[in-house]
Amino acid sequence: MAPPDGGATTRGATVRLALVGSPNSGKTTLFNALTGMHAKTGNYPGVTVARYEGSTRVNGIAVVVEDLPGTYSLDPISIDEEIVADRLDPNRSHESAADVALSTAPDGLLVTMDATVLHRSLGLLAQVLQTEIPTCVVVTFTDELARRQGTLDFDALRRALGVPVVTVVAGRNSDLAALRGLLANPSDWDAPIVLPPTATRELSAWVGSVLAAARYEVPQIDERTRKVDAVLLHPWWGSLIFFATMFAFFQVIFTVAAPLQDGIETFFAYLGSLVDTYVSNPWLGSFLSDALLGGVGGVLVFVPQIALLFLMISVLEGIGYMSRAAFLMDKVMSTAGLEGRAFVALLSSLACAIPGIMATRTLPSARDRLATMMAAPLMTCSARLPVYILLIGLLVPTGAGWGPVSTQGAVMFGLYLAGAVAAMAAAWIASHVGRGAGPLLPFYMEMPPYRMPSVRSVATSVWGSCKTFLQKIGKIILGTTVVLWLLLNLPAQNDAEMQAAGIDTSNAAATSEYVLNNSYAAGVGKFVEPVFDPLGFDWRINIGVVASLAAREVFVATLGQVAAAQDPENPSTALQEMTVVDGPRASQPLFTAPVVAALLAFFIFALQCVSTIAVLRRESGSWKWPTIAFTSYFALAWVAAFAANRIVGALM
Amino acid sequence: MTPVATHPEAVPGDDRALRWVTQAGLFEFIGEIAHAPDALQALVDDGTLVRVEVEPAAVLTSIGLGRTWRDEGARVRTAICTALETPLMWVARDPGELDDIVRMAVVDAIAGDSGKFIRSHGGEVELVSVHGGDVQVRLGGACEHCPAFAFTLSSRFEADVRARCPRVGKVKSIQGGACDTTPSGPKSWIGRVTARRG
Amino acid sequence: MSAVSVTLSSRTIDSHDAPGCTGWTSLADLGPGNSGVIVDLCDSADPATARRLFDLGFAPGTSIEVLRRAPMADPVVYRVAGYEIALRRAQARCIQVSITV
Repeated sequence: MAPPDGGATTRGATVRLALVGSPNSGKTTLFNALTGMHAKTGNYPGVTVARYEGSTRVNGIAVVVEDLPGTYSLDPISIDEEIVADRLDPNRSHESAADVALSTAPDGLLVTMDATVLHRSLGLLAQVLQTEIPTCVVVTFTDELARRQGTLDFDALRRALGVPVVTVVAGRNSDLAALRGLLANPSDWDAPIVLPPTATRELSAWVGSVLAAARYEVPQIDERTRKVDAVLLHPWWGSLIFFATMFAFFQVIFTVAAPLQDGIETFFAYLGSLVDTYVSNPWLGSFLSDALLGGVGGVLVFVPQIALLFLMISVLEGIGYMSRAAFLMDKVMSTAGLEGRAFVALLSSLACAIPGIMATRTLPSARDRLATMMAAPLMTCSARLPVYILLIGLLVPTGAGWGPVSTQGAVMFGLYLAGAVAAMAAAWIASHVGRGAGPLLPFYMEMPPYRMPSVRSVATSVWGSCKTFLQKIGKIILGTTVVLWLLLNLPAQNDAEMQAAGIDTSNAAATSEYVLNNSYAAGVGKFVEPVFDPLGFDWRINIGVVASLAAREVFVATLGQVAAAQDPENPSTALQEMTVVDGPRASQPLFTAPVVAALLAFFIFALQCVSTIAVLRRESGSWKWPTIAFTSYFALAWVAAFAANRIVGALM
Repeated sequence: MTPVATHPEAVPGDDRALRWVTQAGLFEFIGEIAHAPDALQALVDDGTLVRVEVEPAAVLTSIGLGRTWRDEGARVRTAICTALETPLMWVARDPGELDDIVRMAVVDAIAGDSGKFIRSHGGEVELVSVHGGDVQVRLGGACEHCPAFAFTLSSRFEADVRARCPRVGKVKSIQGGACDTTPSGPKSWIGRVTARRG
Repeated sequence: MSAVSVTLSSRTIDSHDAPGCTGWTSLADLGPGNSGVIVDLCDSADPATARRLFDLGFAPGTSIEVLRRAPMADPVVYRVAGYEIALRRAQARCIQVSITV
């Protein structure tokens, strides 16, 4: 049965193993326990499915373990499952052997089976055994089995299956020792003499026989889960608790993240002041503090929100609540052509579309993934908040309201609602128009028992998402900030030129206004005037809009720069008093109600975020969809802004 | 018809043999067969299988010369599954008696889990006699000094025997008294072994 | 597709003969609290869906229990093969069940 020379020695003494199992079977927890948190992440070639590989040493032999995506069957209906089936194909050949490791099947497989769901798990095992790759079964959650007064004879199971069987309880290192001992020599593992059947009727008979031989019984259901679900999935109580949880979700992201974000901003302001003190060249100083520090700070300031978001998502997922949430929301989501799990991605987009779009990886259907990705940028993300706050402040006086309801709050709520409705509509269009993007998948969702998530899995998830954000997206934000700074501050003006133009060079506000008005950015602003004129924007607002492509908050910063240029002491008053410079409305206030309304409408819909465009490109695999999103949302934003301008103007 | 549940297990020490484990009590005999239902008989006739032996809860087969389980396994499985649906059409070479089956079941049980359990607690169990389907065993060692223990043990042991041969009669221990159990007696509360129904 | 996937995708689902079964009903028509034995999966409409349901544990001959419905009656949580899973009405319609009292 075993070849005379173990595969390990022929390939330079590295053993490659793969972890196979259904979702919720404890596979990733086992992976983390075996390999520590040093998993290399990347993607499988040509698709947007994450790949996790880690390593460990057993008796001096290097063992590389790959955590394959969870799958219910090797008869795949989603991209994730196709990857698993392909990966286990021993006769594969690949056009590009770029990654030698990927072009051959693993040396051995570890199949995780949840002891409380053995009946279904054996079906997957039977399929995996068809690949004839050395297989070892790892039975997980045996503690839950014991809690439910269940029985399982592991020795009998081993005899019935013909492969090694080990048991592991998550978090118990003692169990791992038995498993680790096996890892180095997969070619020595026992294999079944006759493979299990694949035909459905014979398979059912085989599973029944194996379970009877192993004296498998689970007399009691999981009482704890049953009782909790009676409340959490109750049509009334369940929905109420669900909305309360989602509300708390948000409160945490905003209120807990806020002090952390303030801390980061303060730190960077401090660094900025250091630059001011120690760097004598004003041009270099400005570059360092505004462009570089501003850029890096602008990236890091997202991290608390992303970390908190992924922390809560992975805790809720680990406990098992996410599937309940998706269950409750499925009907609503289906009106937009989506499924319940898309709710989490859209919800996350309320903090930032980037993790929201990344979260669509949990959707098995490629069509749903795409539709959700296209909808995510329309959800009111937290970057829009500073813009909304600024603009609402210009539109509505602070004290206005009826009783406890403030008008400003009501307008804000209306903006959020508009974003959500637009997102659902976009999803509906994308899922019906994009019919060619994949087959209509049947909807099913396992409701796992409530469990305590492992700290390590949660930590890995948070760290992984932050790392992706910093490495991939951070570069873009930093790059765009630098480019923007250059556009706003070049061409550099020297004192002689400015004096010739009549500027008092000792007045810092006057010089910066002059630089801004003659910068390349101003050139761009004036160049796009014909597009934005009907909306009531002038070239200064245009600079803000163009600049906000880097990140929406930049709009506020840019306007702030413009305003500070005019009146460094009171930038907010300066904004309100800003007047149109030339043209038919010269000397009239710039930020009139119709203009502000138009700006608000514009920002609801426009995809003003290169980072989102970049993530859309990565996750959808081509430039097609981000381009469609950008152009159609821009058109929508323009029309909405135009309408807002005219309607509000008529109401005044 | 639903195929009878069965799965193959390796036979230690003989890699040309395979034991097809199935539910107990399908057959009223044990030992080599003279004739099997067509699907299975065909495999014997063409040399794929050289041995087909019935056990209390399994069918033991050996693959023929020049054949491998790898090539023939699926065919053998299908044939056995079909053949097991009609157990009455299996003809024994030597019909034997109920007692032979019961004896084999007891020997199996002694070698199996409940016997190991007894021995692991310092006890012993040995077969004394089988007559008319009734079994007498002797429980020794630690069992002698623990009447309650012996009672539940024998009930677990009896369940094991019954799982292999549902038609077994009474299982008694020679020490007498407390270990007297009947087929409809109480099940042990120590082991949660379920007796399979034939 | 891998060789194993090709073999698996040509599977058909055979129905289960339930002795003494009086009539079949679609799982979509069973309300919470009912239980039964799965008799057949209709693979005429979409064989891939039927095979997936089989791989999820909805095999002919397995018992199934209807647990609870979502608000607005869809999807519904079932207990099958020892675990709980939610299906939409559209998928539940494919599953024929013989009710056990």
